[in-house]
Amino acid sequence: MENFSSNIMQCVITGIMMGSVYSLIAFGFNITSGIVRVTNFSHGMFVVTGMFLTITLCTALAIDPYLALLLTLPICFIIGAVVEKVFVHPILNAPKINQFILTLALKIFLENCLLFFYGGDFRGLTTWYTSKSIIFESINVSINYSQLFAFIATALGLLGITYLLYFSRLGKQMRAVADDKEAAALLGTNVWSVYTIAFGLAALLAALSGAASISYMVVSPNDGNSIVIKAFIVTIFGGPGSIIGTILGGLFLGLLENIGILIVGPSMATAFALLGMIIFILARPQGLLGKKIN
Amino acid sequence: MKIQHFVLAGIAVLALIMPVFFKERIFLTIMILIYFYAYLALSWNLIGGFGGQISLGHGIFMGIGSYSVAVLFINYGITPWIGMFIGAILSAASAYLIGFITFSFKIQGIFFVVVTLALTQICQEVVKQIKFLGASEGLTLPISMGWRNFQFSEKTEYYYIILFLLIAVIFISYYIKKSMLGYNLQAIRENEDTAAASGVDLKKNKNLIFVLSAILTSIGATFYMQFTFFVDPESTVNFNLNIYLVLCAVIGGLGTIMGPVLGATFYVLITELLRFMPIESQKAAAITRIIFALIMMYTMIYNPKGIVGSKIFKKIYKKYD
Repeated sequence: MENFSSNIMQCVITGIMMGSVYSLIAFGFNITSGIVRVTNFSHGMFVVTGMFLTITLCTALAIDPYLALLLTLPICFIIGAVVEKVFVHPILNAPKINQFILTLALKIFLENCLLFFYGGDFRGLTTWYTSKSIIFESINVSINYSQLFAFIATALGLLGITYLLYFSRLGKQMRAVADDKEAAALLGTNVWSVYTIAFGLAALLAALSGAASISYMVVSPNDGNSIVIKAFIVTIFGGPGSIIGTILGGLFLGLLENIGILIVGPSMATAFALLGMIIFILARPQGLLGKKIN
Repeated sequence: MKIQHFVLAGIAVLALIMPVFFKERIFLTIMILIYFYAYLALSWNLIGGFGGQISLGHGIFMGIGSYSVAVLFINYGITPWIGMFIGAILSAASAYLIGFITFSFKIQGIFFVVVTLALTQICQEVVKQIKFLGASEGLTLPISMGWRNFQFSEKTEYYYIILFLLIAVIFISYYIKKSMLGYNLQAIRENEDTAAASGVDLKKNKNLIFVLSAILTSIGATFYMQFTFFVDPESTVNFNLNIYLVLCAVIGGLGTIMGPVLGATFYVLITELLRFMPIESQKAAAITRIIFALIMMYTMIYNPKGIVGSKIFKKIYKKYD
């Protein structure tokens, strides 16, 4: 019982580190749902694809996942852009239900492509920092290096994309399209290009999240569902349309999950998080910082 | 009587007398699978097509329908016919609860989808943990043939039962479509806000069709359990099976009655055909699903009304009008 408070400390620290990864995943998800206005059910598969790509590159070239980012990021950006041009673009004016079924089918497509090449087993990647941790004896907390690096990488990613959205011309265009695409078009923005770039960016952020977390996780092509569910939960917690909300929502999910592991055990942690989401939906549907649901 | 009615009647008669002439197991099995998937696809279509809400939670109802029957029969010897009834009630209650939470607020339809998906995943995990439900190995029915136990050594009885169920769900779909419920649902599907403004109670209608869909799915799951004698979390409380129901309904024509039937026929035939391909089974399964996913995407982009809405189908239909 005397370790209880230090375990909470451990929960909080791990929760924040993993929460950052969730924030980045959810950020990519929100880019597609906010700018392109398509709920991309296959976003989880973008993350998984990034992870598998990282595994393949790192195993083949014997390099570190972060170094491999030089390759994984552009490749995944291209994958996202191609997906948008080929599959999403034609159904932009279709009823929401059709769009949704399409992204569902896209998820199956990507999942089974990965299953074909990699099989259904769990894969992982061991790096020099996978099992190393900093241990703080006094407060009984250990910080795993790979999680720490993942936290730093995803935090940088979040900063980077926020900078892009608010301080660059492209970012202004993307935000304009998100607000009012007709007005943006009238002012000279190529909306179709913005959509393609948005999807590319979403895939890129997903790949970054994947590459950062693969060193401490195992992944199988079937994991797409749980990832997109988490992205969705973060959006519910943080509220749609708010960047800070997404970041806070991700951290909150990380915390909730780790507390869940402490209370009900690892297998039920997702159920715990889902319960949290349901409570949020019933009590505060606009999330922590979202705009009022109209 | 229009030509179409004669054709339908003819098909029905053919279906009824088929087992007399074609006794090979493989043939009957394929027909049973087609009827079963058509039945499930039509049950899903009630909430997915009529209601316009993509449910990914039907794995839960499949699980309830299968497990309640299995547990009651294995542990207490209660006949599956009663087990089926109990399963249906439990599924109805679950559906009502899920609907109550997700249809409560004016939140985008995506919420329903994600919650049902998440619940299916969680249920699968939970079942894996519970020894009473067989954990990961699942439950197997002890063999005890006869009508009382809903077990038959020949495929013939199963054939007629599932055919009966399929015809029943076709009639149910037809009558719902023509009823006030169907009318309300169509309004909801087209534009929720307008429907609500016109006085349609969104929550009540959506919940009603969802509960109906759950009950039918549960009954179908009971049938399948009795047909395969086996249930386990991986294959039954499975989100993927749900996806194939979506596929059948969508490719055939979402919201129509002929659509899911055609889609299911297509799905079963292609799956069985590809089973004979000389490729390693896991890869073959992946290829099958890739093909289906591509067909689904093609359907959504170029042919959103499915086979039923396609020009070829309309031409054939017009020829006999």
